[in-house]
Amino acid sequence: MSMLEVSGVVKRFGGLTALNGVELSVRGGELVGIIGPNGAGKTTLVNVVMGVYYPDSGRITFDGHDITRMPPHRRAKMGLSRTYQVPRPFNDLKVIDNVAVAAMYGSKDLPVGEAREIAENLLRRVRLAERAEDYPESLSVVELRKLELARALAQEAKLVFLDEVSAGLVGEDLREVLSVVRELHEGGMTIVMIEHVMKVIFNLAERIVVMMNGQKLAEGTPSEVSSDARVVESYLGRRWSEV
Amino acid sequence: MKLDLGSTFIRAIAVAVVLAIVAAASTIMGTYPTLIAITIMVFFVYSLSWSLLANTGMVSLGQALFFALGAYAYGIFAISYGMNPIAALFVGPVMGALAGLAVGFISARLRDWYVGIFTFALTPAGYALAVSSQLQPWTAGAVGLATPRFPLGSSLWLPFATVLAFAAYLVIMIIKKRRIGYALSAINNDETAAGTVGINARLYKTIVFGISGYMAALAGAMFVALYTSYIAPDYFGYPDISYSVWPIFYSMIGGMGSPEGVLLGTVLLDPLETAIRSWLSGISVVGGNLALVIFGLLLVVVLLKAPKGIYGYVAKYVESRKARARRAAEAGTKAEVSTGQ
Repeated sequence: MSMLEVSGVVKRFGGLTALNGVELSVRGGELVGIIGPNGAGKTTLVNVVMGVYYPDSGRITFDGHDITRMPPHRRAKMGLSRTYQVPRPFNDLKVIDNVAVAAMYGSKDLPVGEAREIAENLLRRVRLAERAEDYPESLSVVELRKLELARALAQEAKLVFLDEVSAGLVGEDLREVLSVVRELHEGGMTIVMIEHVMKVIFNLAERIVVMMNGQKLAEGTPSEVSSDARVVESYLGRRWSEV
Repeated sequence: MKLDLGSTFIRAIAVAVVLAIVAAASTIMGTYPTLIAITIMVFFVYSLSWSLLANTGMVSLGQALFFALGAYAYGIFAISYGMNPIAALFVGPVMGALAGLAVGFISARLRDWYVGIFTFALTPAGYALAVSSQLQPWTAGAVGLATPRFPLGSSLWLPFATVLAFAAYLVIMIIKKRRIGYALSAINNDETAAGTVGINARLYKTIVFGISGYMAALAGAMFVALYTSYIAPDYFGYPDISYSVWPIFYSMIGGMGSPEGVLLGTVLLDPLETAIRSWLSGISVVGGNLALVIFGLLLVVVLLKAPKGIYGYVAKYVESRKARARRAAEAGTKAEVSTGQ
């Protein structure tokens, strides 16, 4: 049975239909990629799954529970988490406390001391330990991305949406973040990666969903998707040559 | 707002010492300075109540609602229900806490400046209740309520106020250091991201309003019990808004990011306010409002130069001095190494 089930979800903003009957199914332990051009509705889909907005129609279930209209913090307690395209750290808290607060309030309710110990270990795991006592405003983009990954880990999230975790990164920085993502997945975390550029997920994802105009256009293994005529025509055809 | 100068324990000792000095010095100086010192203690508690909300992302423009509720509850419990004034001083503010929870329940569902508009809009309602004919048997209407003498030797009033002020500081520090404090910082920084890590922002905002309501009401009750012995409807901050505005001025000019900044603001500005007010009242009948104008200008000047208040400015300066010393030390070690070679 699938862990996350999104069925027939519609979300409108005024006259704009951002999601127009999206279907998405994620099984436990999977690493799924979602790709699509700008405005395809990828981030809106994440926001609807996380409860930032409620859909106008459709249904979302997680772990067999209907979460369509559940407030965001309760979804977090059930084991859903995300990272943000533009990182959103808590600037008044030190790096270690940014992670600790997620351990305090995530899947379990932990006291401060225990949460900080967990945070310390997780910062080592994502190779950010030496910045533990700094404030997030002094962190680089890579470090902020790693901080958000550590936060999701601290929550003991079962399923994490990574919203363009590669955005703005190249070379060594990109490899570093992707290797952390791979380690998390190998550690048993179910991951949905939203990406703009196919290349990033091609080697990582087991399954790829292509979105277009608020709908699912195609779905399959990376090689199936990249050879799908509709995908090539409407999305990759233009972009594939650049990659 | 990371204004950490020293450990929690040292900070608490420093605050205790400052409060003790204010109390001791004013006692030596005489009766009038002693009264001013009592208002410092009262307004420190009151400003802490405001800054607690502000540091959870909620700007209250009607904090006097709770201040006045505390004052009236104290008076009514002591007069109409014959409660011991010492007990009434602590029981009365429970009304402020209940009102805070109710206002907080709604404010937690409002964004940004709507919290300010909402809280501001409540103060005329409080005033209207205080002067209403139905409640006149308890509130004495527009005439105001004279309260019985506080049953402690008057030489103990300032020490008592000082202890309460320090207790309020400790409550703020405990909140900061506990689990809830981390949640409040997260909510203040980014409410959406706080929800993502599992924090129930609405619940915590409501709780914080309840705590803040109690503290503001305690300040109101202290103000009446230890200073004025009289409760007027305009304590509700209507039509005279100053009762809602002083805690904002004291907190923001002093540095609302830390309770020490709030203390600094109160200790510096409360006596200044009294001085300006008494000086201006000799010139014109609107002296009180002119004092507000002067403080408004002062706030603008300070915030242009020091956005995090005076304490924030000092903390930043100390931090940069430390950093410079560290760099100099590192450079020194390098120089030694190179001469060694």
